[in-house]
Amino acid sequence: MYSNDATGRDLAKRKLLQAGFGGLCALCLAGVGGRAIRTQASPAPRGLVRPRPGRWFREGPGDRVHCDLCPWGCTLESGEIARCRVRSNQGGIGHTLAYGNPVLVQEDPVERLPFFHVLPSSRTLSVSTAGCNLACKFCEVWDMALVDPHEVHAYDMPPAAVIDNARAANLKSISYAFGEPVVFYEYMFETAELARDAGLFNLLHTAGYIQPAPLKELAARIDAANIDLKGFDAGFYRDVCGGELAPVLESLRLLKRAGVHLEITNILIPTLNDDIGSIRRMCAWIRDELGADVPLHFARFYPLYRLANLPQTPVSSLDRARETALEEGLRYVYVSRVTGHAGENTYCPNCGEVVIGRVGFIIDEVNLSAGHCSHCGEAIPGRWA
Amino acid sequence: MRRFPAPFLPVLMLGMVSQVAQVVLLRELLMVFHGNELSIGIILSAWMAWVGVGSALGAIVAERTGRVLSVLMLNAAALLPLLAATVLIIRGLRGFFDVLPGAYLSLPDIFVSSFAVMAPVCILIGMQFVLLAKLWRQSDRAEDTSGAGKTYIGEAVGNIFGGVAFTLVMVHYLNSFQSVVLAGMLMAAAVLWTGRRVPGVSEQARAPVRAVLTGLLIAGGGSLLLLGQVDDWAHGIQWRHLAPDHQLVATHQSKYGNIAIARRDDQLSFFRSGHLMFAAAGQDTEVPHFEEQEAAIFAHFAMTQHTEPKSVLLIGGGLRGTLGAIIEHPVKRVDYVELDEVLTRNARAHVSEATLAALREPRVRLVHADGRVFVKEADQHYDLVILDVPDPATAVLNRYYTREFFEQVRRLLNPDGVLVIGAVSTAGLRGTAVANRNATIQHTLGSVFATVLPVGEHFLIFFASDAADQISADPEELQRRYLERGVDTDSFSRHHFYLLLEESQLRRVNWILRNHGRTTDAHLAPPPSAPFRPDAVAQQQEDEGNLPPVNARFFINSDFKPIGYFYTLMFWGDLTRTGHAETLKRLLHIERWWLLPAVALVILLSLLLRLLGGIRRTRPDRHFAVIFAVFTTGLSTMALQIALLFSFQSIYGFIYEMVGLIVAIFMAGLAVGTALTNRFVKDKANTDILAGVQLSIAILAGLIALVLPQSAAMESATMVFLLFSLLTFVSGLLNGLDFPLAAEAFRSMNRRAEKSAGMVYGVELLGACVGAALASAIVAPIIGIVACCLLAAAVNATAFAVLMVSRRPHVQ
Repeated sequence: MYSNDATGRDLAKRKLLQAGFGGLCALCLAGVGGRAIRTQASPAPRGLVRPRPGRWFREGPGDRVHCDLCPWGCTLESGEIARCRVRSNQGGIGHTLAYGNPVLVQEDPVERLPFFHVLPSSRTLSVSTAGCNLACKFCEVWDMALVDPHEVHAYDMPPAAVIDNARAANLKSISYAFGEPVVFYEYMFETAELARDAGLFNLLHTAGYIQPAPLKELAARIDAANIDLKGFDAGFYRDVCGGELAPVLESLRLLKRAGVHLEITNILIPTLNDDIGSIRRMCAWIRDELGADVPLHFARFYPLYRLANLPQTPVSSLDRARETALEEGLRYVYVSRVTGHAGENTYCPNCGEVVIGRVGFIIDEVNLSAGHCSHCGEAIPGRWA
Repeated sequence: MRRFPAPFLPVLMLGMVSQVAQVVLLRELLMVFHGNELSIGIILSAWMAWVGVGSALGAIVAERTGRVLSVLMLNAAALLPLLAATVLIIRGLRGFFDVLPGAYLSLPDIFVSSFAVMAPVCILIGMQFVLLAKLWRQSDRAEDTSGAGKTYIGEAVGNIFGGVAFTLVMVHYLNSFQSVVLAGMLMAAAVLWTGRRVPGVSEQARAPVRAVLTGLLIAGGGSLLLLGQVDDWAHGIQWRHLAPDHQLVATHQSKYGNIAIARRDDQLSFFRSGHLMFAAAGQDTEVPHFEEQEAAIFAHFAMTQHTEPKSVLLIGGGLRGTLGAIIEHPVKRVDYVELDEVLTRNARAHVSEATLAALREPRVRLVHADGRVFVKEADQHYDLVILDVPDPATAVLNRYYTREFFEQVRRLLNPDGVLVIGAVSTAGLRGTAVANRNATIQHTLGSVFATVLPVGEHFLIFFASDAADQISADPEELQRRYLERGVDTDSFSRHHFYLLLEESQLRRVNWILRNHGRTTDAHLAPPPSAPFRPDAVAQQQEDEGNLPPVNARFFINSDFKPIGYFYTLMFWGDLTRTGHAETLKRLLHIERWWLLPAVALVILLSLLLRLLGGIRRTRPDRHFAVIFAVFTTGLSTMALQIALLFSFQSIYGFIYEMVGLIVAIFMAGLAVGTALTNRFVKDKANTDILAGVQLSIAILAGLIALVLPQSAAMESATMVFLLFSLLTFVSGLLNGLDFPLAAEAFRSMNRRAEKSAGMVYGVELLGACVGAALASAIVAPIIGIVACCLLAAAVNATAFAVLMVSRRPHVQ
């Protein structure tokens, strides 16, 4: 029935070999075990971490190093690793452990990021490394982001290879998404520069927990950004996301001033951040500080990670949130993760007709010509080409 | 005709209270911990540990006091309100932890809270055992530990009564508070009555103590009616923490746990034992088709994986919207199997119109049964079998994901039939636990069916079939089938096929699941990443034949090696981030042969002690031998029970009353064994007999190890039940033989009756506690159920050896 005995004995032999020949043998055997099919991107064995001197570090007294990338502002002694798991102090010099070793490399429809006003129907190459500087209890990529980079398999893909792969697959853009791009700043920055040169768009999806100075430099190279505005209550940010609200709001303002196309995602979690008053204030803030044209996505929460016992968002809550946002004057408000919902479509704020019809990330109909509504000619903001 | 011994009644009541309290507190704590099986192991361990401590305490108190009855009365007086207070504390427990609603409690939290909460009640119960043993001994005017032996039997009988009374009567008519208060009252009444009846001890109890106890008894009686309101109020507190801002609509007790229905705006959520089962639309939901969309998508996707499904079997999940969606297809017959009748009955008042209409449909047949039993006994055949069951987070749920079950389903399917089953996942399948678990499901299906297709992101749906032309990953083809049938629904559209089968995600998931688990230590590390552009699924399926064979030991889930449930425990550990996933991961390294050095160590230790004893003229080796024998008996009995229970559940099906009956049969065997020893063995302190018992347990365990896998082939359900009952009775009997022998042997070494009894009782409980944790969380899932039996055999054989080592001629 089972071949346990054979494998059991084999395993015992292997262990004996390892003990006898030490680490070298173990490395070889591990390599034999984990080899994947070779393609343009060869998946490397676990722990492909190649520390590289990073930016946004300040050398302190002695061997100490201060990281200035995000509001945590970690102070690292020699050998210490920062909160985000991918920045460290090695011999008094700040290093990044997230360079050229993305854990996620995949092709996605751009609507999935979600970008509804950018290159509709196109596909993008998404990259992301391990690490994150927040710790949301409803994290969807916890097995990638909230882990030690030494513990996960990564691809060996320096910035130039990213561009090559995107080109080979005929993709129009590179996305720094699904993980937390802030923590792999240097990798993202250099790839973005190469992408610009190659005529590819740079799309960013981040929680926005970053200091203004690095963000300002980055913004010049980014074409569109989707920021997770997870809630509008500082207490919620602290208790449920492990971060602070104010820096995120600052990042939003900064990106707006820099002229980056902005979209906002808010996951509506029942009982935690779905208070209608709070939503109203958030929408008013967006309208006043960023403009009524910034698309806002209300996403449905499904039970997962540390909130696996909380029921999914009632659809009526999403509907009410969308109504509130429209009442506050926002012009493009979406409901996502309810496939087939009318809130997935882009409506012309002037004549009310469907400009882009969607079901999930599939585009059903397009009534848009050169960025204007086909029915009435109203300009619809976005990066359409 | 001998007079009915007076202490028998309070002992009986002790057994009853003990059993009722254990079941009630277990059910209440499970609500807080969301029904996880690992927490059951911890809760029972806490129970046994504290009762052990209580018995040790009781031994000390029994030594020092002459007024046993007085202490007993105080004990009973304290127990009555404490039982109710403990239930109340448990209801408010989540409030103590700074944890979000919906979040799982971490393992350390579960540990600490179980141990903290159980302490007062269990200590009192443990004390009572030893005190009653002394009382019995006093009333018999004996000097040996026969009092303890009799108390042991009486308690076992009381356990049976308590278990039966709770399962058949209490759970239906009384709430938790009423059950425990009633039990406490019976205990108090029995102790008071004993005070009058037992000659020679009645003068021990002072009047004030009597008065207090009587007063409490009356107060308890009076409060029984009020307790209904207390229960509601306490439930309110609990739900404020479990699901704040949710209005608690109704709670119902069922055999399988506590069913709760909560409402938020226009959404209804259904919980079992505090664990979210599903959220559904109610009758006033604004957009019911979107509310239940997840279930509908699952159903429509499943239905289109067969070209023309006429007969469908749905196991579980129908109430959340799956049934309503299935009926929208032109099927002729749907058999919907739901485990819990209480759930269905009470859900009817709340679920959506679509679900109600589906339940009323003539094409739909609703069967209340355990899914596995139904599948085993069914004689119809189906085109499509849809398993909408929860994740295999417990051994009970794991039964729906095993090779044996898939084979049974295959027999039910028509030649071109399709099986559909789902499991929680992550978009990247990167973690070791989730990748192992889902690769196991993939490979287990692959070992039974010719074609398997996994699809999904956060939730994986597996399609399996022997036919080549049914399952399809082509959105065009599925869309065509869907449109052909003319299904008219708001929650699904032809576009959904493109969403569900998005190429890059589909290829990646298939690559990881097909390639993972094919090396000797694949289970110890995360899966390798898929290449950036994996092949199309059709190509991957073709190439799969060239891949190395699957590591069956760690990637095939079976009734006898429920590794699926172990991986799910690991996954849960990842979710709660306590690091216990790391511990579990390390446990995956355990090999069978590790037991050998442990055994050798123990024997070496006893030899050493014998040498030491020889020099100093004491008998440490004999002390050690007897204690070790008791410990191993506790351990192996639990290990065997776990093995029998798991196997029984898989083969016979999970039927709650049957399990209760099995435990009762064990207790009966226990009682008979103890009685036999008391009656027929003259020289109980003779360790040769004890050694003989150890050897017998070892042989029995070995026999069970041989018999268990064969029993799966038995056709008749009755025969299976009889076989398991017999094995359980005999294992209880051998365990029962053990206790009086060990107690006497120990007493003969230090001459104190209650101290010996208390000590032996405590050590046996400790062994049972270790055995339960070891068997259910480690040995059974990782090494296998047969290994549990072999573990039991090995430890008892070691005890036999150690007893032999300590043997001297003319012991005394």
